Amino acid sequence: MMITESDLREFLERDAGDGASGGVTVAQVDGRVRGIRRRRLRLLGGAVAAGLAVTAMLTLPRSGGGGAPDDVWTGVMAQPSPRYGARGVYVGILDRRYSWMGERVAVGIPEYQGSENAWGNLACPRGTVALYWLDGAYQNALLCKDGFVSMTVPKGTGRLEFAVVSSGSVRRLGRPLVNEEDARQVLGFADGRRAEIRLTLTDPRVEPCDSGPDCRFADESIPPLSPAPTWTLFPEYPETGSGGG
Amino acid sequence: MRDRADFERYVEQRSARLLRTAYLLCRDWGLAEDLLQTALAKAWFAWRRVGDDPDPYVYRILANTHASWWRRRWRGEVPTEVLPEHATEDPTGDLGVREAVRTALGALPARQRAVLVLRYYADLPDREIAEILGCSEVTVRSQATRALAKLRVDPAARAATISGS
Repeated sequence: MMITESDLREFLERDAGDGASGGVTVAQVDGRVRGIRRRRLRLLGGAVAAGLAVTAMLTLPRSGGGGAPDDVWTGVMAQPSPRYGARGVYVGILDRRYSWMGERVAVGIPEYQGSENAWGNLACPRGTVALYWLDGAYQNALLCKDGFVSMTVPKGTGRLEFAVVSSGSVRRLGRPLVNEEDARQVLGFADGRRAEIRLTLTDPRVEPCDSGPDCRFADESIPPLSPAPTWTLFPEYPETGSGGG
Repeated sequence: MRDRADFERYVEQRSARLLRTAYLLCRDWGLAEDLLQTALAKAWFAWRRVGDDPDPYVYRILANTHASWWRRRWRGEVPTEVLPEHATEDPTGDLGVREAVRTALGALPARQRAVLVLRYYADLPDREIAEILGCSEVTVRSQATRALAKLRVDPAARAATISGS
């Protein structure tokens, strides 16, 4: 039996409508972004290890060369073989503490040597929300779920601004916080309070090395991951009196 | 320049429709969610470079990602706990046609299915489909013709639609 093109359109529309859900959420996409980043980092680590292995193969002295002729005496002094490794270096480029929340704070990003993005970490009272801007452009609102939030600061950014507000201030907006205007309104709802806040920026780099702590070589096995850095966790932020709604 | 808030708005507004498109490409809702999440995550990495209309870019990632998954998919037997139901005669004939089209659509190669979905579901012109799939308009038309022939779409009705439009 033949069908027409309009039948096909109708079929596709109906077929896609059967059992359709509401799409995917930004949080799910963020999770996938983190997964892709982790996979890329692993691939990068593998490539670095392979590069080190090739370098070592080409540069390390080899045994089993041609034998010395019987009539000539030759001798070589024993010497350590050179080794080529790499080490991850995490240089703190900024560390500031604040004791007040509910207002927008601007921080100039100092010059740093690394060519990669800097890692930002903002320790904030649990349950609060941290908004941040890069060079004046609103970026995101992050829930301070575990006592800190993390952000990537692209190389070349001149100014980071942040504001820590109570989640009640965000609820008073009555809709999802998505843009600069929303962020400004939430800041208007926020009331100033004492809070322990700490902003740190780190410049992650990879340096060549031949010895010393954390120097990794291509010919050694990979040890288990070191435990995650320990951050100072602040107590839960009291919700009472943090704005209506 | 596009920013984070812009991306979040795009995901909220377009993800339902994009999910349906992904489903039509892969015929599996779980896989479609997986496919769309991956496509949107890849789009986020290039978000600052995406132009005013992100749709063609996202469609391209969807089609390419699906094609690569389709190439690597497991084509062997899949164990199942419950046996599939046997097909029975449909007195009106409507369900039979739907099922036949569904089966034929599922058996199409990934590229041909993508052409049909983009043309008849996303309503994109052949020129845009060619850009998304990275081929010529002639290829898009030939792929569509082959796919429609497999789906037994009436060539007379198709000619009438094209000349009437």
